[in-house]
Amino acid sequence: MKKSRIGFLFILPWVLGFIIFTVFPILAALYIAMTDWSIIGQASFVGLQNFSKIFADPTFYKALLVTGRYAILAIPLTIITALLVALSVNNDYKGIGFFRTIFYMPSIVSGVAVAIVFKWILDPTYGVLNSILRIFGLTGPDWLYDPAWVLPSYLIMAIWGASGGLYIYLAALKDIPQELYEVATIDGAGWWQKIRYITLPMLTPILFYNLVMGMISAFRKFTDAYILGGAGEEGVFYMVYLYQQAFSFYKMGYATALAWILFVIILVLTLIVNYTKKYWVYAERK
Amino acid sequence: MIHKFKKLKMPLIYLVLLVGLFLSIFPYFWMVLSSFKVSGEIYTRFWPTKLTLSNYAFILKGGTGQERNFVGSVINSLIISIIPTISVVFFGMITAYSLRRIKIWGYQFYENIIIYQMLFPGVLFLVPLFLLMRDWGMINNYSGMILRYLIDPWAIFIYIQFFKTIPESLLEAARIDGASEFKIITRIMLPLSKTTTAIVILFTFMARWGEFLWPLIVNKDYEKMPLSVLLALFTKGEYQTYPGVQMAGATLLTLPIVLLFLIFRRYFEEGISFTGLKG
Repeated sequence: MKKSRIGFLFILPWVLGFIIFTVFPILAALYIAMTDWSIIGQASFVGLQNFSKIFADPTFYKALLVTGRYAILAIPLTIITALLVALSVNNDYKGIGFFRTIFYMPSIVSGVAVAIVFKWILDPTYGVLNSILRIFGLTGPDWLYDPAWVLPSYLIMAIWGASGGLYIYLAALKDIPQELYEVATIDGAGWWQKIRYITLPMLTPILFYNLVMGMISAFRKFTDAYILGGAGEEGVFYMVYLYQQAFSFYKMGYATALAWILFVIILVLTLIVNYTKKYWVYAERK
Repeated sequence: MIHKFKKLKMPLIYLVLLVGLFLSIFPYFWMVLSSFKVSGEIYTRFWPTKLTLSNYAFILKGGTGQERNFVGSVINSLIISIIPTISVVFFGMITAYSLRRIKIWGYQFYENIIIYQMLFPGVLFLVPLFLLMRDWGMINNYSGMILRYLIDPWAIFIYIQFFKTIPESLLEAARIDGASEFKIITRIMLPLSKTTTAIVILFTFMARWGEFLWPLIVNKDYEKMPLSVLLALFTKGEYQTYPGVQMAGATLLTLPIVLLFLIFRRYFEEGISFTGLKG
């Protein structure tokens, strides 16, 4: 058989997969979003009605608020935590490899296990966290059972899992030329000045990457929010809301319209970050 | 003065590291410990007065009702993780080979599409693909949970990156000896790309093992549920007050991943730093 024909045979499965699982769903989503379709029965075309319903729905704004507020707080907190962890293990002290391994572990575990464990750690009466606070004579809050404390509960989990970026940061730290630090030392710079004027500027591409990924993952947050919920609708993140509309109420059209809005939000956020990056991302001059 | 500080610096850093260590593993530690506790002591005592296997027995006996067949769910998790993993490696390799080594007509165009496909937010696909699975009669069976994950653009992408580095002379020599393109893949490319393949296997397996949303949507049959979904519904549902059993389940869900991570740590570090894009 001719080489080019074999080559085409080799990519054929991917082409088919691409058409069925990427092209088709995008086109279908365009149509479904403009229908009133409760899974059983026929879809009826309603134009942009789903969108006008969504924009009149207070639950939609609530879900946006819950998700947006979480993203704004969780992203800087996790970036700072991951950076601190990376800086603390970016040396060759004895046994540092062991510490790196352990520090990375929180981010490899499935979201389901994390949610279940934190459900009990954050339990108001019996939870470990409040038991520890009690030792110090403090009364812990009701965490997920108190609307005001739902967001902090999710932030605690986010910080605990923040080390997901550890190896990326470590690789980036390794790429910083050592001469820069040596020159700075000769010039009498202290450790904070070195971090402020060398490490951070050199890390901006990776910080940028994590910023974008952090936003996207906040808007896709589902597993732990679905399992843990939270008092007073404070745990209804955008994806949970979308899931409820699609698979609890079977409003296929409405849910798909929600998915398009989410898509646009992610797209716009990515473009904004991408557009502004030239002002703060260090790029090596070629 | 400075001399004194330097002496102090080492222990100070280790102290910080130990605190970090404690915070990182405490939830795991507590999870495993609680899974061996009797119900009453999970709430009241940190250190148990006695250890019990009853939580694991509850899980592993298979359940009286079908609703908590944990042994079956572990097998289900393995099925929906291992099949896509093998398939992703296979199709990743042949697709990347065709694009990068055979360089079929328009290969650069295809490569660009693969990158876009990789970055496209999958949220949009949820409802359309669910409806497609329903129309194809794939609700409540394994194919519905597996089919969309058989080919992964990310795997194609990293195989492309690796195949770029293999010298053409190697392939030419094999072709002169009369090896078919498929044989070149299995006899030359596969052995050469051990590290890349290990990375693809690890990340794909872990992603599928922990998968939650998709199997939750396309499968409502308790007999076919993967561990992640069964455990979540168990915890949310009528067994809310069985923390010991929940912890035993969570331990079961976590253990394979932690073991894989510890055994193949080297590949993890390489994989994350050279692709970055996964996760």
